[in-house]
Amino acid sequence: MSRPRQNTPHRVSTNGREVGLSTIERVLFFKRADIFNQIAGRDLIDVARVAHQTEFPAGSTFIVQGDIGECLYLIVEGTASVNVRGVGEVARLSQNDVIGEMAIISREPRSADCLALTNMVTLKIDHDDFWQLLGEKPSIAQGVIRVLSSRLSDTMKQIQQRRKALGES
Amino acid sequence: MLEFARKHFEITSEPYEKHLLRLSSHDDTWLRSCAILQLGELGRTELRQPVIDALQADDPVLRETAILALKNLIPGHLYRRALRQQIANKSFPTVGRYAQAQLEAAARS
Repeated sequence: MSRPRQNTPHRVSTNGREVGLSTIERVLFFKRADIFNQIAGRDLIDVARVAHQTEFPAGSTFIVQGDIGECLYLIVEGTASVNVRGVGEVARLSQNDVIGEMAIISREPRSADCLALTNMVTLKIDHDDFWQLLGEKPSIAQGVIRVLSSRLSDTMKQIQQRRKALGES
Repeated sequence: MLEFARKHFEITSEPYEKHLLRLSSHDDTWLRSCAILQLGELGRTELRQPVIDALQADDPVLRETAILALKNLIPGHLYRRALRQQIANKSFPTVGRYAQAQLEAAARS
């Protein structure tokens, strides 16, 4: 299957300076995202400051499966379709959903293509900016660790339940 | 919950607006910003003074929040004038850019 072309480069407002959303609005968006919801609002100000408001027109593929992930996107407006090659659409994501969050933890190849179904406004955080922030602000790192730890625990429970179910059947 | 507490335990509480007004002059700028945001969302013009005061704050997040909140609290021409004042203040460049964007948005709408 041919690689989708990233046909429309993303647009960052006014020479890379983001102005559409106030800092407190950005904080509120981040607070609703699972990966950040264990971080205090006042600490999310720093996350909001490193985020870039990035827009994609409808029809553009802004994440390409197999590419190394360098950033995450938090959807502020719009809808995206997540497609795995050979499988098809696996999810539709909209406001407050995060796309590619593991990319800011570890640079791994993207597991799916993401297509903007409508015009989209996102908040983008780059891997390097986020890691610098984690070094400077331990409280942010602690919040992310809490979320990842909770997810790991949930996954372990699910595996145990499935093992148990398989053992019983 | 407050109503339940009042009814069953005779615990009284000040109105929500009073709490907000108190927080809107708090030393903690994050708490103050949250209160200012809420005052804007309430949209009650008689509660606008703390929001106007926050336009002169030393903290840029608080100033931005005041700009956001003020939109619901004063007439359009006064709002635009407040935005121009923020743009003219070069001590807070990020606030100026945010105010500029709001001014452009106001002109489009």
